[in-house]
Amino acid sequence: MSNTLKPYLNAVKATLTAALCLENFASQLVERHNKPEVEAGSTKEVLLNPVVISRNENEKVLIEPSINSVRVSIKIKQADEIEQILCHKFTRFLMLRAENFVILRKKPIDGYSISFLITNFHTEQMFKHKLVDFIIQFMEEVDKEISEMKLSLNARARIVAEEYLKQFNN
Amino acid sequence: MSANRKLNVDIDEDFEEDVEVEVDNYTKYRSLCDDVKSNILRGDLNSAIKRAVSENFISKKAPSDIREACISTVIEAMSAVKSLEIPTIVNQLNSNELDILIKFVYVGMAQPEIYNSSILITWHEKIVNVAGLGCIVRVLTDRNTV
Repeated sequence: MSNTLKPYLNAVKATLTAALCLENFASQLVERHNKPEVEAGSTKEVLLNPVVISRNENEKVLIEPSINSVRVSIKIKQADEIEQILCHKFTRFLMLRAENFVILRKKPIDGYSISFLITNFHTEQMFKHKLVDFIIQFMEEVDKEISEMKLSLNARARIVAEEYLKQFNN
Repeated sequence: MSANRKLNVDIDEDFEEDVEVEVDNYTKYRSLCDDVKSNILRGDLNSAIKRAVSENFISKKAPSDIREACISTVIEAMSAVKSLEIPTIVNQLNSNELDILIKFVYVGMAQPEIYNSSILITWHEKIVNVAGLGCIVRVLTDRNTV
């Protein structure tokens, strides 16, 4: 199954590079306002078709583009209950600090673990290919982090249980 | 006269109109499904794919069972092709047909419970190698979705 990881990430990278063609677009409803259209969603003609790239039912990426912003939602693989809890805590940790993250969204979209919102102002200040590389790297690293956390959790639990049960060993 | 005051000038009326689909198009889609299925059974996957992308889809008004049947037929054809043969088939299609094919790839990936995503990812990679990022942009911007 791991041999689909590289093509999956390449597919996400290609789609993201294509979707991140953003330009400044002021709000058509309120003058002198500039909103990310994918979040405001009020005028349908500036929204593009949302697209899903999936590796299996548990891992997919939803990309919702528009004229001046793109929303990328990632569903992280959560194989069992302990990974669900770890994933939830980890993404909550990141989302609480979303302002420092710049492109992170404070709430994920329904059905996904974490969401990014990239606007034309971000692509003007930062390199587009580096933004795409960042998201791909994030997708690779978050899986590793969660399995690392799970291993250390299990190791710690085993040590604690051993120490506790030693007192009954006589 | 007061009706003019209640008129909403901000709505782009041309955009809101749905695309009109004639009723007899449904027979076109059914014949497409049958053609593709027979080609798959014969083992002639090259012409199955070519037939599958020959019709330009405007499925917004088509009933969902016809749409589902067409999508599953086309993705069945794509799954039947072995990974090594995909580049040869992709090289023979022109850019319009590749656009339609990659639209099916994305529609299939949207339902990973039903369709096998790994073969679709392989198709996606091979199509983008040939058609470039332009075909992805056309999927995102084309209002005639599958």
